[in-house]
Amino acid sequence: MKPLSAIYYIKQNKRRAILLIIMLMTSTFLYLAGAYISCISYFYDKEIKYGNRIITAYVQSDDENYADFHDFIRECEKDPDLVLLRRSPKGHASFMFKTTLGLEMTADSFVFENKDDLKTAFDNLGIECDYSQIKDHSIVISKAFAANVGLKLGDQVDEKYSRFLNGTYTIDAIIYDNSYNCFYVENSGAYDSDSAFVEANIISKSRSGQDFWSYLSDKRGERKLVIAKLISSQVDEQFAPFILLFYGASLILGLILSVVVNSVLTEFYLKRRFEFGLYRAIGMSRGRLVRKVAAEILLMNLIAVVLGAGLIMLFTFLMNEMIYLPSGRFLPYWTLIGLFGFLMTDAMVLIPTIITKGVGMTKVDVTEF
Amino acid sequence: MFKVKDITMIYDMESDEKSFALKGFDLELPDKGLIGIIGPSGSGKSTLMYCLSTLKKPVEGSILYNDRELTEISSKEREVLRRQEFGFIFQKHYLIPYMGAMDNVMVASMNQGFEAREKARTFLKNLGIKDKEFRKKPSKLSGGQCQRVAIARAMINDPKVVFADEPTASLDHENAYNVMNILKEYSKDRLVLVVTHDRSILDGADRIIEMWDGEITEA
Repeated sequence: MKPLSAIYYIKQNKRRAILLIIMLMTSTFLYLAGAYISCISYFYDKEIKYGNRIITAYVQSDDENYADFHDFIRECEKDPDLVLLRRSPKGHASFMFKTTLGLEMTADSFVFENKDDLKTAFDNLGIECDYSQIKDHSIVISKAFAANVGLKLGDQVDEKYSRFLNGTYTIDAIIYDNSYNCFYVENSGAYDSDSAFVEANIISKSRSGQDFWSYLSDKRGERKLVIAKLISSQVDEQFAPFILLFYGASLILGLILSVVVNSVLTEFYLKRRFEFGLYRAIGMSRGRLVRKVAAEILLMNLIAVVLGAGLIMLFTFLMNEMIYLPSGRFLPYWTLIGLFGFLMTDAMVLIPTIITKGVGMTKVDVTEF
Repeated sequence: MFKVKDITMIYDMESDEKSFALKGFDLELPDKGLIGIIGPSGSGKSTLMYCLSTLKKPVEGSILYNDRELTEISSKEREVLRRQEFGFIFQKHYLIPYMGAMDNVMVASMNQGFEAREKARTFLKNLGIKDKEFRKKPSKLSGGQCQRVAIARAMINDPKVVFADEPTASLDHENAYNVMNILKEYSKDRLVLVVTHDRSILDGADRIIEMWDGEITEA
């Protein structure tokens, strides 16, 4: 092992290295914090996915006799790319569920008029379901959602269970898609007459998301009707403050950690002043010394990241298996928000540390000792 | 090898009361031999050594080293010169505390391969460091052993010039005598400059330069 290598330094200075590695590991825990933040949106993943494929259109209050709405629906019916599912105006929200962080939240619901419409939608969305028990006032929910809200197949729920319900409903099918939204079958007969038909679920065979929404909006033109906003944009609006808060906290932690790590490293490098003075005296270039300092700090950071990531994955696995999954919750292993928060904090610690210590050590002059 | 002309070094350049460490003198040094530079504290002997070895740049004057003007070469060229042609022994051994004796020598070596390691081993053995002591850290070695390791480190690249600043100051008489013998041996075909205020260690010197208050009083 070369005596000037970073591995050599760490091996020969284990106590110092361990202390620094533990401190640097702190920033990796931001990844875990990010996982907890992003798990909120995890509960909405499927809803967003389905919401990108099913968009609801409904009448606008100043549309006399719903003429514009019905005109729009007739045009949609002629479009081979669109599947139109007339819908009851009786929309229900989903039940309240608990996120992994313990926050009580509610997801949207998808309301269908009858079993056939539900089946059409599920076929388009790729959801497998046992339809044998589906009838009037049926609810279909996922196994995870059922575990989260404490329901099982055959359970009946009414307004006592959820203030969003109007009437008694039965859990008539359980699906396995890890979604956290309710699929209602109403059978209200609301669309038997044009005057009562005021809402429709529209499914596209080829489009989804913003592309689909823009397509419907263009088709609507100047007609008076509402095309519901995409669920994804609603979720984004809802969670933007959480994410901003997380990044703000990451910045503050980054600053604090940067000061602490720099202070400890200053102490370490003060003790190594003559070492670097000697390196300069025997002709090592400034660049070489900066690289040496950078390599030592980066290697310790790499060890910290690997250890931290291992601990986080173990923690996530244990929490999921023992606590979260049995109660219909989940802590994601992979999170972009967490990764970005960690990288931001880590960079705030590493960049100033390497620059100040690296450059500082090249200025040591052995003749001044 | 060295031709020094009218060399002047001033510390505290910004201050009103400038401190002249070297007051403009000429000096010539040969390619080989043991040269002692002697004088009391503050006489400028260490400053002269630092200027010759490019660790410091004189305010005025010229230093020619093998016809190269050291006061005009770039920082990078100075680094290369110190790495390839100069060796340093300091008053304190400045061994790196977390490295063993062998690694303290290898840290200065331009090559890190097997041959360089064998060469370091030979140097250490010739300097009286035993095999079992190669891995010992400086805290486990005596003062004399540490200084001999420092000498091996200074010589590992076969430098043309060895600069030794008070190399025996922290050693007892016996160790000081041994260290000077090693330097005398090396000076047979290289130049060794020894800065000291102890005349007794310069018994075998080929030449003694005496300094006083920034000037050469006897050469």
